[in-house]
Amino acid sequence: MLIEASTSAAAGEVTGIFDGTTDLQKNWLDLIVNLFHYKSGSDEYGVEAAKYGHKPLYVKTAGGAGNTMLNEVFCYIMSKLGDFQNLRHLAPRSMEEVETLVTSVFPAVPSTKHHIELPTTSYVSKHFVAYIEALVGAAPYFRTTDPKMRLDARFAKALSELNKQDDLRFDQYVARKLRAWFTRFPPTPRVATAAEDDTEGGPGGQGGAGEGGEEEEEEEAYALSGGE
Amino acid sequence: MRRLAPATFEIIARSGVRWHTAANKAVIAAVLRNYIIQNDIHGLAAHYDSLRAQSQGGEKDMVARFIRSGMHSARQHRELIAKIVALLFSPTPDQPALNYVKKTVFDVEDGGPILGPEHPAMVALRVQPKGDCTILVTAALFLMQGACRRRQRASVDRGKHISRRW
Repeated sequence: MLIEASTSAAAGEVTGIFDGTTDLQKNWLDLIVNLFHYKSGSDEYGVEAAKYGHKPLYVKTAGGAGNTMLNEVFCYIMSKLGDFQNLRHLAPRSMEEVETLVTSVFPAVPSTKHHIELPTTSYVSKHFVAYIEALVGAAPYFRTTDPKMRLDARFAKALSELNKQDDLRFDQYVARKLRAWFTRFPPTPRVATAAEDDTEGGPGGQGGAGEGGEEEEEEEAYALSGGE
Repeated sequence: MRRLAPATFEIIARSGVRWHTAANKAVIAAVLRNYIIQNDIHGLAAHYDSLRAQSQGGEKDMVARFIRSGMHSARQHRELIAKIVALLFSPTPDQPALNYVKKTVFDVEDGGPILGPEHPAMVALRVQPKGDCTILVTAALFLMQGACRRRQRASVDRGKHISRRW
């Protein structure tokens, strides 16, 4: 176990709080930080055991058949949006809601005497994607007290990379990726329960039971998708 | 706060990683005001601005409470993502969506870990230093704090000495 979770110590698992001083550690952390950009079949890097020793696990600057902007790891995390505290309201439960998620914007908010003006922003904006990407990069150090987590720096870096893309093209790209994902693994209809609302506001409100439910939903989606 | 929870998505979409920090108060206040007015939360749509004009403390309190609640959510987001990343390094034979990710992105079959415990990289990682640097940095910081305190004390003593001279 190289990623620390709150249950790691209790489970007697070794955690992965590296100091990042050796080439291997740096390369492994590069892989984690860039999980959204990894692409199989690259000539320059790979996680295959056969490549170890003569190819790194990941290369940030890989050209040719190299890195992608966002791969299916991102789509998978987006499909788990319903498990994120206070974000479940926009977790899609039908293809119509997928369409809403990928095409809608938060409208501009005009300034008032006491409030700043806010521009129009896509639901799945670059800021949102960079937030998720920063959390992925910080996964080995997810505890807030670890100074190596450097969430701000990770976020700034991810956002600066995403900002190299034109806004409209980025939105279209994300929409295309998520549409393809949810077509393959369709979202399951919402079942409103009182318990669901009750868990929303509490600290760390969603426990393992919720995740188990999600897995059942996922299996159902798998069956619907024809078992691919 | 529960009624305001749906505004979290918008605040993250607008601000990113610092969405729940005091530095982001201006965005939080603007989004919450807009959300309350647009959705007429507690029938406040028509009265929000006049109430705020009478007492801005209410809004400040609401933003502070939202930030406190946001910290819990942010911690849950971090842990959830850490768990998802950990799943990539674990066998997940019964999770078809994740197995599809592993196959498509990492070319790993049957939900196997993208880097299993027997992978040479993982074997090598297990014997890597994990905290020596951190211990050294912590020790350095501790010594530096001590040095700063001594310096501060010396400076105070010098100040007393100077004031005595005057």
